[in-house]
Amino acid sequence: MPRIVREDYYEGVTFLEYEEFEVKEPSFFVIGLPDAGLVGSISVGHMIRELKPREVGGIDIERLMPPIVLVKQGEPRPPLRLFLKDNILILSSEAPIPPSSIYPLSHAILEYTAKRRIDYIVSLTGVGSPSRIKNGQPRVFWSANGRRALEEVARLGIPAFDEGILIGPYAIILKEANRFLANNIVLLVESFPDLPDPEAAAEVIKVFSKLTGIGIDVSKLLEEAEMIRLKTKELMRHTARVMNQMGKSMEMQPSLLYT
Amino acid sequence: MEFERYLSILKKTLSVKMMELQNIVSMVIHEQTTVEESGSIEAVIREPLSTIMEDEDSYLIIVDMPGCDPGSLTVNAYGTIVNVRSKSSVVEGLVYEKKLRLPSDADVSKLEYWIERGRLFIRVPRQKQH
Repeated sequence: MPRIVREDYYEGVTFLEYEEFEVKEPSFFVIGLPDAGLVGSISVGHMIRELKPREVGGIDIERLMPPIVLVKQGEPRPPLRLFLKDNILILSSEAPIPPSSIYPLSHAILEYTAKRRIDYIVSLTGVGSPSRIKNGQPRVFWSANGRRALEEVARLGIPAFDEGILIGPYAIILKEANRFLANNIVLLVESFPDLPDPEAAAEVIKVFSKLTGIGIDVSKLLEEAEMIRLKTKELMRHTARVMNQMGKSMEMQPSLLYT
Repeated sequence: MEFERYLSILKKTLSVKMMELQNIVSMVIHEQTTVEESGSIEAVIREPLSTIMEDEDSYLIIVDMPGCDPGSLTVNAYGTIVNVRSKSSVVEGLVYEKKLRLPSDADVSKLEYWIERGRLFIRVPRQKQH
């Protein structure tokens, strides 16, 4: 484990930092967790490969299931890792977040971003949709909380996520953002619910590029799409099980209310 | 003498029965075997991920078989069961195999399937309820 220079503890969730660092302005905290179509994981995985950020910290969750540790060059790392490149802080997770850890982790992320004075939290996620097959190109939608976040999404030229339900850590961050004076942008892309979907991840990266003004080439991601699907099969299987536990299938159901 | 005659008949009958049993056992073993030859490497059989979507008229099953070799793909259906099997053209010796059970109103006789980027799409119409 790299030497830890700072630890922040929030109810069972510990943020570790391996060095003193500043996130340049305007700062973006990108969150990619395993979820529908593994869009979050695949897209941040690709960003890490393309931007070559340095690993500056990690997040440890007590009683994380399965009890895993990541090993790099013989040394252990927590399963959630933080990477930094200029004004982009990236959170990547090796395992799906179990339902019991969703609230503590979401609140910890919000408290940490408030403390670090991060300008925007950007959540990248897939939303299981039957129209993923009908439309050749998966469409990207936005949902946002916070005045500045809403200003930013207005210039992206993508439609709002008109009506629906979000479930998981992204949902809690989105709902609670304004209480922490945070600006949260959720980019949702149509994806397969329980099959890894690199093509959907590529679409969401394109919108993220537009949002931040940082060019990220997705051609390699599309070229290697089948290989990525082969590699991420087991993570998808495990993620689908966790999503079932937290009732993720409710996302596919339209709201009962007409107002 | 009588006794020896009966004994030889019994021996013959038993040996025939044993042969029959051996045949049955070898057939069963052959059917259930999950190892097959592919070049000099034994095949590894993997169950691919799949998902099912439905609308008013049909079911759509998507089986994720990245690197699937379309030439080796077989899709068989009987009753409400669909069997899918294909070799991988990327990983040597990898074979995808999946048995899917569909709801009872699925009409597998009108099944159609196609492959796109290593994803197998199977559309099965629903029988009209009278």
